[in-house]
Amino acid sequence: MSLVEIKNLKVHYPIRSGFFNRITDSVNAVDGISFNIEAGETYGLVGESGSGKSTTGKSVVGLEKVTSGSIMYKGKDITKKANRKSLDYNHDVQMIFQDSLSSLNPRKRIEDIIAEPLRNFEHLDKDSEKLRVLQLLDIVGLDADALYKYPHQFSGGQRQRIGVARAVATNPKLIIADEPVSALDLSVQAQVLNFMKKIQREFNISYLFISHDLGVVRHMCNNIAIMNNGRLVEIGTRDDIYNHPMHIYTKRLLAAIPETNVSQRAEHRAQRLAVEEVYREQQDKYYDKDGLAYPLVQITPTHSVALPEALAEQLKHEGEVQA
Amino acid sequence: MGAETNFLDIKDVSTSFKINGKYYDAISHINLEVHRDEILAIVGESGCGKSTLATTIMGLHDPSETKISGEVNFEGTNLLTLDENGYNQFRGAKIGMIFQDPLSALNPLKRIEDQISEVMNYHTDFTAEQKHQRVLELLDQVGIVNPKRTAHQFPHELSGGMRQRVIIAIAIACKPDLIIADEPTTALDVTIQAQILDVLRDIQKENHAGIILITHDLGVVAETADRVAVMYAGQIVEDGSAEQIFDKPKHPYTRSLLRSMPQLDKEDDELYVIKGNVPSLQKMPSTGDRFAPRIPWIPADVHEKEPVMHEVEAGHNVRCTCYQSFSFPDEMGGATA
Amino acid sequence: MWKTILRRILIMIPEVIILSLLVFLLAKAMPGDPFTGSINPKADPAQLHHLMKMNGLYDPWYQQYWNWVVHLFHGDLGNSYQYQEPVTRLIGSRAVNTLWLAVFTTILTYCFALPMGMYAAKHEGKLPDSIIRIYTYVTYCIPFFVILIIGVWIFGYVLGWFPTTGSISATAGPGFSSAASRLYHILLPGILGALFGTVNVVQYLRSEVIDAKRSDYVRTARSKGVPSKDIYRHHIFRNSLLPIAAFAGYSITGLLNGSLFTETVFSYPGMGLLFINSISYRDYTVITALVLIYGILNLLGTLLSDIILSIVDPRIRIE
Repeated sequence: MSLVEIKNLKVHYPIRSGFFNRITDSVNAVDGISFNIEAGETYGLVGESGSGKSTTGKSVVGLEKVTSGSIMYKGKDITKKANRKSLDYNHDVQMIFQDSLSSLNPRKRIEDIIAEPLRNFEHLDKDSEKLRVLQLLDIVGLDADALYKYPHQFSGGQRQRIGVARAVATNPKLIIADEPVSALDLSVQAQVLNFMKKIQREFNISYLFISHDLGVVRHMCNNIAIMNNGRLVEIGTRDDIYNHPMHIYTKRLLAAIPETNVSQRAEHRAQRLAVEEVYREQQDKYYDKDGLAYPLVQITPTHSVALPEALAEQLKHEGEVQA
Repeated sequence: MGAETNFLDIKDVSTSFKINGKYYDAISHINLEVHRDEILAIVGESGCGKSTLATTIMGLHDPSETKISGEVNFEGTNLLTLDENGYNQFRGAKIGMIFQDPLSALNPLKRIEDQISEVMNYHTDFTAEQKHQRVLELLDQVGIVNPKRTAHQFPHELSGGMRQRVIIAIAIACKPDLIIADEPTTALDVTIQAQILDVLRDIQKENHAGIILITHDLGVVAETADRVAVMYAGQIVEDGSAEQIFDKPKHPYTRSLLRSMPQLDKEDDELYVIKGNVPSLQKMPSTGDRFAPRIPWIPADVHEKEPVMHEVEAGHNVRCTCYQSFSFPDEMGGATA
Repeated sequence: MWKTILRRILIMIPEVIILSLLVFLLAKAMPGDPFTGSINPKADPAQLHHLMKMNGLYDPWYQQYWNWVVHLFHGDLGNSYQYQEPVTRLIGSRAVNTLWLAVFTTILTYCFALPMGMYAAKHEGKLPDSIIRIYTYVTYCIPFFVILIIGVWIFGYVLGWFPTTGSISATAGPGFSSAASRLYHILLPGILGALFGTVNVVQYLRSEVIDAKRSDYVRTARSKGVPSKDIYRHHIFRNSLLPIAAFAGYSITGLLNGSLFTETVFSYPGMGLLFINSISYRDYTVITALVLIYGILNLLGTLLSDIILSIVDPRIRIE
């Protein structure tokens, strides 16, 4: 059984208008998506800004009011508040944010920031709490003198590690990481990513890794879902997505990643422009009449793509021929 | 490449900021040339001084808080000797600047059209109608689908990608010879980023401009730059053609950066992490190799006392001779790359 | 936009009802009664009793409230016990005086504050800025009524430049002479009120201008080659005046509060003085009417601020 099963999740925001402020329309931030996160894996959720990936993340952690659909955890639907309470869900699921400075209370010392989830859930005595905080600091590679400092006294990478320490304080099963490294410099990013992998190995934590950076996602994630306008356009393993992408949107995203191979710059650009061309011309083939993605069709046991059956069959066939 | 003239020649430029009454170097002794028809990328991590260099060229620093020395020779004029009025003849006219955060860089209370035509008010004698036409032309050129509509809108009504296009339209409105683009795509999605970079390249071809592209994104550099200058802690540590920098990097910092990138064709479990932190302005060492503390396994006597640039190949320069004996810890004993 | 304004006004109705109820009950809860002080202390208690009964003061509170509301809808706010005159007429004549003073004070406030705030911010950290800031700090520290009393004493009493009581000179003739006399009477309270009111606006404006000066869009404008004076005119001042414009609606509240002090110190026959007097005489009908009016004006001030903001700031649109 999967750790978390998301089924047909929808988050719609009402648009009110008219004299009596009645709901006249809605923004479908998340529009019926389903995927499973296995224990101990890193699941990548990729999409451009406005795709609904962050809303999905917030729904999974219970910060967003879900319109319909279910998120099953230990056999219970945690979109209901009562279930979250009875399962101690907020203890098991934590979140890491993109902006580490604004997500840490500037007036609290690091000791209190990291101890906060412990105080909420574990109720340790003073000494063992301190011991635990020191252990956590050690895990994230910060010295004990960090205890009495304030967030602004740290660099971006250190703050992000403090955010991680706070998230792992309660030994969670799942961490939602929303763009955890996109504000960081390359060398600091490497540090945080390495560290996330390390604690995953040690504590068997699952990540829902939300990012727009396909390079980072490829490095981190076993399974990946590509999100576009509130719907999933393609899900599959790392190999499925990067080596056998089927949806034009996935292809377009992949083609846009800048490559560091200078000598093949021209070819890469030509290839990107070719994909852009196809994307422009064949949009109506890949999207329904409202411009939204079709329901997912299974291609292989691991690989699904949002296409009409016929087109999916055709592309699958072409892919086999090529292989 | 194929330079006609050194139309921008930066000589020994240092910029220092006043912090608590004392001046600290944000960039020190920068030497750079930019040619027409080329894109020079300046790469480095935050705090390395790359944006300071850009604002120094533009003369945007508050003189009461900043000390600048050296020469910025642009088309025969040393910009650093100009007063505010003299500088304004260059800004917007011959040098255009593209800023990073497209939302805050636009005035929230002015329509797009007014913000673009403002630059023409000072550098052209266009009539109102000519300006209007030029605005529409520019918006079209930067890839905005409905220029008439966008011209009439306010910044908050546009998406991030569209705002960035507007910023570019402002920068190129008077067909500048030099365009300085400071992290022009950092806040954008990859597909938009690719489009914006295409726009920049097209404009450059059309105007034969020189572009200084400032970014921390090595991928962007590899895709767009002709030449690259790598900055660390306020200094240029390596410069050369894009091929030289990416295929034959020499300086330990350049090599470390490239190594810490998640590579698309590799699935390494561990990424390379550069030890330590970038020194803050106040703690910047004034002598010796500034990168030495980040590669502690390299013996101190390998570094030069006062590291200078050495030419390793035509057009390829590296600071300090330590690169000759540098290797990563996991390569020690084996052959050095 | 009209729809939203109308809706906002409709939402104000329950607010006003709750406000009126609170006001009514609070006025009733005050100790004392309106008659004890005004009739012969040797009078028969039965007579007082009779007066109270005649005026319905022994009825249950909801009965009294209901009567009051019914009369309110007929435009009748009752009679003042103290002045024996309809409250509407009483307040009407005073309201004009207060309005004069308020408008004059507001104009003076902005005349002082705008140049000061901009000048201070433009020369941030230099001598003029320091002087203006010292002025704002000092004024901010002194209670308003102390400023008023000192002002009256120096300019009204010692120097004798300005009148210290009333709203118009008894000898003033009609027409221009009357208007001049009115203006002469509000000159000193207006200036003193403006000196005090300026402080908030100056500090607010100064920090807005400084923020704008450091903003990215000003940097963009500089990189366009726009001369400094034009940057101030087209970008900085315009953008920093915007929140000040919206502030104007809220400042109604401040003016009304200020009028309590000003009118008392200057014995200026406006709503503030009337309010203070009515409280000491337990003149319930006047108190409730005034508090209700003050409350409604505050609500309208907030609405006005929102409307101004939506007009001047394109980012805010009420539909």
